[in-house]
Amino acid sequence: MTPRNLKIIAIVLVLAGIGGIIALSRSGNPKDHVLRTYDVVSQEGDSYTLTSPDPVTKTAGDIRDAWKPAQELVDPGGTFLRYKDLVVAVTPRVEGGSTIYLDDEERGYGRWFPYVVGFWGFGGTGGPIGGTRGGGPGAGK
Amino acid sequence: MRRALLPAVAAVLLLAGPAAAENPVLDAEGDADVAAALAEAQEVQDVCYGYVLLVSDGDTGQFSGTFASSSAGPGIPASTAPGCSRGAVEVQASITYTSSFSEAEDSASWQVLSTIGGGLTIDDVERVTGAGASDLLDDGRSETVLLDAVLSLPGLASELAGLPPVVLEPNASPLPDDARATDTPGSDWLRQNGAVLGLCVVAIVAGVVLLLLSRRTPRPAGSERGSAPPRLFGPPRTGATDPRDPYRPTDPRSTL
Repeated sequence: MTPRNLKIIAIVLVLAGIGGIIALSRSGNPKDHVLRTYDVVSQEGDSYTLTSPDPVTKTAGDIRDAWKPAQELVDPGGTFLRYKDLVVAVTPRVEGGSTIYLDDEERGYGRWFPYVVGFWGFGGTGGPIGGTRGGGPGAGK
Repeated sequence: MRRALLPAVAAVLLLAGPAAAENPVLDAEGDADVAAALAEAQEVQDVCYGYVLLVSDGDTGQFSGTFASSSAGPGIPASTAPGCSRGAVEVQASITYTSSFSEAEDSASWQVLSTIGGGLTIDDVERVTGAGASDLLDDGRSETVLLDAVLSLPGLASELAGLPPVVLEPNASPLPDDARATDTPGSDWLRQNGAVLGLCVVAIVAGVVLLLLSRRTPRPAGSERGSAPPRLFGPPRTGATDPRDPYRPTDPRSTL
């Protein structure tokens, strides 16, 4: 390979890498994605309530696919996705579709405390994360 | 005296039999949580939900047994629970731990037993939870995986079989003084873009390395435009030279 070809490949790689980083830096965040994608019903401070025409599993799956959550909790009445200082709760609506609640960590933990205690934190009778979890027969194969 | 006690101790040990098996995935508290969460769904939907876990422990035997919890209570399989007129939905999982002396791998499988219609299968559960049966072998995840699988059943039944949904009530009560979230997550951006970011950095580093290599690659002298002219050896020339080409022999008769 001639030096000229090496130089061309090198420049293409550097430009592609820089372009990729610039594109990634414009990818936003989970909260912006949810606010852009679904209809806002109400807002109170930094907390939002939104609606989706899709059922809980599809709505939560779409959000999860767009932005990978740090933790996810499935409950008979909905799905909770946890991000950095953001709790997304997707619950069913009786008339169809689903309701999405966006809260910061403190408010989200308080709002959904009975369902997430013991999983994402502790308080009252709920234990710490992992406090009663795990176990098993030791290292698997 | 001591000799007289021996037969009695032996009889007690024989009557006691083997110790109760230990559920390797969910402890008693977890089973109680499952039962409580599913009881509400049963009340709304009139369907029994639960799990049955069959464990074969070929290593120590400590975990061999059949374990269950359902909306009817810990230890009761949903498929045999009374009082659910619409039917039952149950995650049936199986784990096999092989002997540490065996070359065979541990294995796990699961399926969904449903009598409510709607075509609810284990594929739906895996789509919602993002987990597979092999995750039951992961000690760090198995409890969450089984919990998520079982607790996803009422929501899936609502969507696929047209049952009324279980609607969550946001908490309006003040929290206990010590209540707080733990394990605050790291950057969402890095979690989402970490892999692509890594590729970009690798591309830039590879480009820089290639650029350096291209500058160090030897090339034939004078092969490129702008390179230094070849050196000529021989006795120094005298007389005028062409300023555009100092090495060009000058013809003294030339008028140029």
